[in-house]
Amino acid sequence: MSKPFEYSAPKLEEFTHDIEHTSRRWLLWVLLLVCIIGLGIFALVMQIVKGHVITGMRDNVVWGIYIVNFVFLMGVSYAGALLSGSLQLFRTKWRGPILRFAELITIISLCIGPLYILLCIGRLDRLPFLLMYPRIQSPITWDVIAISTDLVGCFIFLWMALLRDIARLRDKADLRVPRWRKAVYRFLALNYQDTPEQRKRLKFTKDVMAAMIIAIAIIVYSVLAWIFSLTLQPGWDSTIFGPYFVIAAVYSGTGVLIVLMAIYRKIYRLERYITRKHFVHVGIVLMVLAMFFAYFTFSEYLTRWYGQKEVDGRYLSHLYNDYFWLFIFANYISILAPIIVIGIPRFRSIKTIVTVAVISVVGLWLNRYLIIVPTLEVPYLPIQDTREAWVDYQGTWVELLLSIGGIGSVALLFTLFGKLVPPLDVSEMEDIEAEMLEKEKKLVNA
Amino acid sequence: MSDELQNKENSRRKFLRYGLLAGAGAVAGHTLLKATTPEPEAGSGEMVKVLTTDGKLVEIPKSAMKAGDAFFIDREEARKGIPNRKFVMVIDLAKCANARACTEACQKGHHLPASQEFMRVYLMQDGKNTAPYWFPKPCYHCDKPQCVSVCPVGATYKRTDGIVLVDNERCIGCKFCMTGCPYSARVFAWEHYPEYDVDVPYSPETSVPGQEGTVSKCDFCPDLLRVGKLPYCASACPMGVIYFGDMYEDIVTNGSETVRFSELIRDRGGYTHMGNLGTKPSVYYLPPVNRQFPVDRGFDGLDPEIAARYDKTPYVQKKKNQQ
Amino acid sequence: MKTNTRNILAFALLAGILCGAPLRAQEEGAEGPAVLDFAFKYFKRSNGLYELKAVVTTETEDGYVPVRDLPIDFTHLTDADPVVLGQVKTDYDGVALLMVKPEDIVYRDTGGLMGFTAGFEGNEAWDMAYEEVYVKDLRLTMTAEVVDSVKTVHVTAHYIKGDGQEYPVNEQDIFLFKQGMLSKLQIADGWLVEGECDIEFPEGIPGDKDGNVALFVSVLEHPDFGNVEVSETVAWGVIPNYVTEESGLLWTTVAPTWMIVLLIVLLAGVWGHYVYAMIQMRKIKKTGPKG
Repeated sequence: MSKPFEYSAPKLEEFTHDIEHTSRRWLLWVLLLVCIIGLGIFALVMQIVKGHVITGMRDNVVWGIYIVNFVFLMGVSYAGALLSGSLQLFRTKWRGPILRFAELITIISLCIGPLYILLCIGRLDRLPFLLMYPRIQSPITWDVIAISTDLVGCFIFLWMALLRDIARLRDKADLRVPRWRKAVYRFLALNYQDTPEQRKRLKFTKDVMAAMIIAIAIIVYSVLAWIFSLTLQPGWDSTIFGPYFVIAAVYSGTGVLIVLMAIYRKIYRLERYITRKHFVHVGIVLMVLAMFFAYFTFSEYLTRWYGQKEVDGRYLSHLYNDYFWLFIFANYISILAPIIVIGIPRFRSIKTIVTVAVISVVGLWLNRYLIIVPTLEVPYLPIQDTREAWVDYQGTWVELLLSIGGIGSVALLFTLFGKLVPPLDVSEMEDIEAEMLEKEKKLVNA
Repeated sequence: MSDELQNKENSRRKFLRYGLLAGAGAVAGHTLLKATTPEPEAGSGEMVKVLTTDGKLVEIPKSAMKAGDAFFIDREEARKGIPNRKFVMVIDLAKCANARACTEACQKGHHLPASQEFMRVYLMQDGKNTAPYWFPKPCYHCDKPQCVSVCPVGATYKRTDGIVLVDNERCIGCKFCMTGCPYSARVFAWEHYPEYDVDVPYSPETSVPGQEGTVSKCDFCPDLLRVGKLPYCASACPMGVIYFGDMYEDIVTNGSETVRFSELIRDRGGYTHMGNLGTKPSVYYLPPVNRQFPVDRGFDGLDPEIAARYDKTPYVQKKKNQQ
Repeated sequence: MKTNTRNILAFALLAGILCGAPLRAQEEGAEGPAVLDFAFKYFKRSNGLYELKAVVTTETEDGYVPVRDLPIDFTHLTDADPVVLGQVKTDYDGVALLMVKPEDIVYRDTGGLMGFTAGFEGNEAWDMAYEEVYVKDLRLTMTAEVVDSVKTVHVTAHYIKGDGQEYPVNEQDIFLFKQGMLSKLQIADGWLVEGECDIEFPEGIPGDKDGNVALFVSVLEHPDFGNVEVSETVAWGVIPNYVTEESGLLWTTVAPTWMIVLLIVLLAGVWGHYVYAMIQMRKIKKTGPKG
């Protein structure tokens, strides 16, 4: 009998120190993030005051880095939902230390992602029109409905996932946190006392919601893909964009998960709970997804290339000539790296897995960039213009600051969540440990 | 005959005399004028034909109209369209010499900055061995408009008269329509341009004044059509390239020549640009056959900034290589 | 129509010789009155009124632009002093327009020519401008009727000489037009013999929603008669096949039905589960031990 996983569950007490205490380093970190976000807000104010003219977007490339960030973050979020949903539903053995990260990724990128589409909107003051005069035919309306539905669903799921840990924190009499935070715990814990009935009910409802958010994640991300593929633009009008985007999303989300595992492992010293084996397992998921992604990417570009339509030809030659290295990185290196490194057991180590995860995440962002920007630079009627910005898109400092500000916001939310709940799902991990011991006992008896 | 000539000679002398007495004549004339014109206070008796909002052709004294505000069509009314009309445009590529009068008249009429062109003139060349030609491109006012389909707030809409308009008071500036349009017909107001500072009430039919952060485009000038005038581009073109009219009455005109739409399309091989996309454009082209001008005429007297637009086209590249 | 350009040219030449130097100086320098571009047209309308139209423009850097609010004097020439018809100021488009009633025409020469003048006397800003028109009074009539199941427009054309008698117009082209929204379309033509002619109305001409077609018989830019038209509305047109307002399509206000149904089903399904989950959470709260 082998012991494939470290299933010794962590104790809540291991994390209460971080929840109770605010170190100077923590404060400095938060201050830094606030400054970064402040820069982003400054850029936003400038954009509102001076108009979108200070961004790099112009009449041909009407959507730039903002939409790339939007698509990317939403993808990461859906990936988190899919992963946490399926880990929960299928009771994957190694889910223990990963669940919480997946849940946090889902909710945090879902909070930040939609902000980027707002940055693209010329008249923010008219945002209520989306609800006042909705047109059901518009994929943007679908997206508004889908994202808000997803947001609510993910919050319900997250609440359920955190419920037991929060109940424990509430019950921990010696937890030294301000009174208001105790009140928050009391409110969120819903009088959960872990009675068998409550436990059974929570488990069942959580499974229902897990199934729900998997389904929603697929639909919602397809809707996002359709924003592009339902237009007639040469690089976008593809029938496989729905599944392609879903696969790409899970792929990038898995990469982000690995990176996050590494960061949390280091900060919270979780080496005991997150082991190489966890990295290998998530890594193998990443590898399989990379293969799927490679298949979809190949299929997409092959179809365009083989058909030799004039517009497709112009689009592809623009990609190969003007975006050569980005294309090579996004569609070759970032796909092959995880397949080779994780596929060959000798190369597997935490360091290498994290490295290829970073490569795949960056590659995926670039892949989105290559789908969105070059397409708009090659419309049906060739651009005949002398204005540089009208011909080639180049993000400006405004877009850069707001992108960094977005990363800062994501980091800040992760930091703040760290003050609310432990970084690992303590209750769930205890369950897993109990299950394992049960199984082991049965095996021994047999 | 000599009698007549004599008469004319006399009259000229009389006019010269009359000129000296103009002051007295003017007073007398005014009373006479009152007797002969239907709108005495207006000073001019010309009646102009005007389409009312319910599609009736009525005559009103021209003096009752001022340019621009004659028929203010509010945003609600502008969604309806002129009844029993279906507007079409026919662009005769054989006559276009890139004079840019259409673009300039349009920009002036719609109070647009130089960086916004509702009407653009492309230098097209369909294939390596085919001849280049000038290609004016307005909005095609498609019968199956992608831009309208994708609009999330109904800011852009298709009217019964075939015109696709944008309501700049409704537009949220998401620019989805710009990616939805396969013909790059739409422009976005990236900032507030000084040209937008016009003190007239906004109507989607005039697209004036423009608004920062919203999308606009060629509107087929329904405000002019209502008073029986051609769109700015069609009336400005010195070559008579642009024909405009109503498909139901089967008449198009470029201002000097009036022809049957169906016959023009039949006899001259009219086609729609990229109709294979299924958008069903309302703008037709007549192929550039038997051209009146060599394509190089389009470069004559062109602003260097504008001429540079075409630098990357295969035709100009080839010419530069030959030199 | 005799716009008498030759006389004007001769007059201008004379004036040029007489005061050439100062005139040239005026043209070269920015000072002094600017030159007007003056066009004068005669049009006898369907309602029997004589329309006199002066179009005043001036050449600028932007091309020809209309000159507004310029008083234009119109006269009717007689064998004695010209009769002053009136003064009209040019409008927004630089057009001064005067309608003359038939009873105001007091003189025709023996050949039947009527003379009209339009002029601007000149002021500090603008040079004087003047044009004359000599034209014969054409009486055009049209009768639209179906003759032997052929839709026919019967046209008569006579002109009046100085003696007040009508004489038929012979061997002359005549055109049948249909009024369009923006302009008139020529749909047929005829040949006047002894002041009469029949023009066949071609089949397949679209009318309005009641099949009505406004027909015009015109003589345009004629050297003797100028512009003359008569009109009549007949219900001979084909009623167009109007496209009724579409609905339930991608680009209409109301979405396709399947889309609405699918959306409702999806939303009801998902939000139903949310509600279920919230009820369960409420039950979790309720079923917990007190205290």
